[in-house]
Amino acid sequence: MTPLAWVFMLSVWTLIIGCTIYCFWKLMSSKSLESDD
Amino acid sequence: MSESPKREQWASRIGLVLAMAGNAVGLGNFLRFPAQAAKNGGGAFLIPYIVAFIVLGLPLMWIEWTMGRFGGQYGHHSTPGIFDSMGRRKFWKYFGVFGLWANLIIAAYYLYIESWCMAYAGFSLMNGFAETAPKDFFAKLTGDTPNEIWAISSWGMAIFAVCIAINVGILSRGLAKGIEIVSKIGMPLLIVFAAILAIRGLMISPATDSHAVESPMVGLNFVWEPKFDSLTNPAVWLAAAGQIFFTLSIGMGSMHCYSSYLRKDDDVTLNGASGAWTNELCEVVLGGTILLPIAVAYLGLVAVQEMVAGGSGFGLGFMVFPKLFNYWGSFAPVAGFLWFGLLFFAAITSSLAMGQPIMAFLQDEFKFSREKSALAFGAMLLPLALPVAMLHSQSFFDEFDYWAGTFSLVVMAVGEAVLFAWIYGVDRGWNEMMRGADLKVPRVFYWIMKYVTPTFLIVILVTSIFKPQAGWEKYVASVTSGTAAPKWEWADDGMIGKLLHKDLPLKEGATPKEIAFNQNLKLVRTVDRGAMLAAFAGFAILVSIAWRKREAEGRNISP
Repeated sequence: MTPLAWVFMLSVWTLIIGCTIYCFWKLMSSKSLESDD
Repeated sequence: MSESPKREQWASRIGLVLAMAGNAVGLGNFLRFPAQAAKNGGGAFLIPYIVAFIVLGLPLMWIEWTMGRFGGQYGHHSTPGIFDSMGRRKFWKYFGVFGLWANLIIAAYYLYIESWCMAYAGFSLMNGFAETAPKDFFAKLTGDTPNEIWAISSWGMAIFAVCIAINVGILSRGLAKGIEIVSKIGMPLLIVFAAILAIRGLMISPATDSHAVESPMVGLNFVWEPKFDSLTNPAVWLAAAGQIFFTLSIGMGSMHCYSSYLRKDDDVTLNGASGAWTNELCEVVLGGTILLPIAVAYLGLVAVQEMVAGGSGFGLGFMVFPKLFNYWGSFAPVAGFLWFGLLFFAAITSSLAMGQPIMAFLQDEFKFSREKSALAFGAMLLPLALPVAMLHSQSFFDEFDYWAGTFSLVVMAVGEAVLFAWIYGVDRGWNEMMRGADLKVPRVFYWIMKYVTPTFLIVILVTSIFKPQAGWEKYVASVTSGTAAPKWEWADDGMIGKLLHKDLPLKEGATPKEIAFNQNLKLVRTVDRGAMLAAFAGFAILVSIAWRKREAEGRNISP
């Protein structure tokens, strides 16, 4: 892998994994989830 | 306002998000995305891809979630009613027929692929590919033979029938006990299966594996190495927008249907974003790390480049992968099972979402029970599924995939973006979307929804209708740099090219058998188009009857 390919891959992965975790963290901590479940 | 009498509900919010994510995550995440990325500039493809995700994917997700929740308040759980409640003109309920029709037509061939995944998973687990070449297995499964219009495989059809029965059975159990449970089990399993394969694939080393010819990192590099010159190519931007569009299952009516079971003040922004990002996780992080790294490690970069040059990893996934897993010794049957198992889970969570809108329509308008509507969906599917399974894949299968699985989705997305932002009104739409929102959407999306998303979609629609064989970039270049424009010829994968059978060229020196096959294909495709039109007309008639019934019963509900 070239350094540039690493940079692109890790940047995009960080963005996607970060946003997914953030969304699910918000989902899990929201009131409506508690009341639904 | 009134509610439909037996309104179903999602049992939990996480179940709804996983069902939505399952609807979006499909075969394309693992087979099409890596091939598209490698073909369109590697890492640089991710720049237009993420831009398209932000200006097209996320806004359309939110639009569809919002429209669905809005229609649900008036007892509508399918797009004819949902669009009617927002558009208040006769036209919109008939336009909403796309959201029933496309699901039925797509399900007819998508379930067939799903049945292949099931057959491949079982055959892999029995270590069948140690003895049988995947190509031979595929030929036996589908009955496809070159230059033969009939493609009948009795056991392939039996597995297809089992697959349809499984889907109908799950659908008949309803949202909470059927779709939601399958999504809660299927989605985590899919991610675990994919993660195991990705890690095992990246552990391949030519130093320790005598069959490996390259490091899997070469394959990963093939996906991610940015080629910045591709960014100036409009075709790459269109490819990125197309990939985002199809990967999120936008323009089908299934997302509207799922969100219509929400309550008035339930969140749609965080739910929508969670589903969309989960899809991206499966596509970019997992999908980009399995197919090409493993294939390149065993076949070499040049061979794989040729295999994915068309922008699809389908052949690689079904025809080549099972053979490559044999190099993994005793783990081979498990690896094959994991690969086709994850494809099966990706497929079934999507196919269930295709059945629900049709069932919801029958339940809302004709008071069918859940079980009866599931059986009716199966019965509607049969006359379309049979020719898919019994005829050569270039006939019904390919036609359904293009007209319902590609073209109609763009048409419907254009319509819904215009309906939401310009007919219903972006101010009301924005307020509707933000009611009960757990995620504060930046105001810039208001402008994106109003101007950028509809414009982007119209460009995609127009360029896919009038698509030149030489590619739009050549014509753009002729304007910008003054080079001579190539002679206009319709592209074989454009709408007009498809209509004119440009994708069925008769090569010079064709044998009489090839000529007869070509003529038969064109004839069957004409019949097939008639069948699709008849299905659309059938749904439109049902909508007309339903609205007359509503009026007669005094329940013609609109806001």
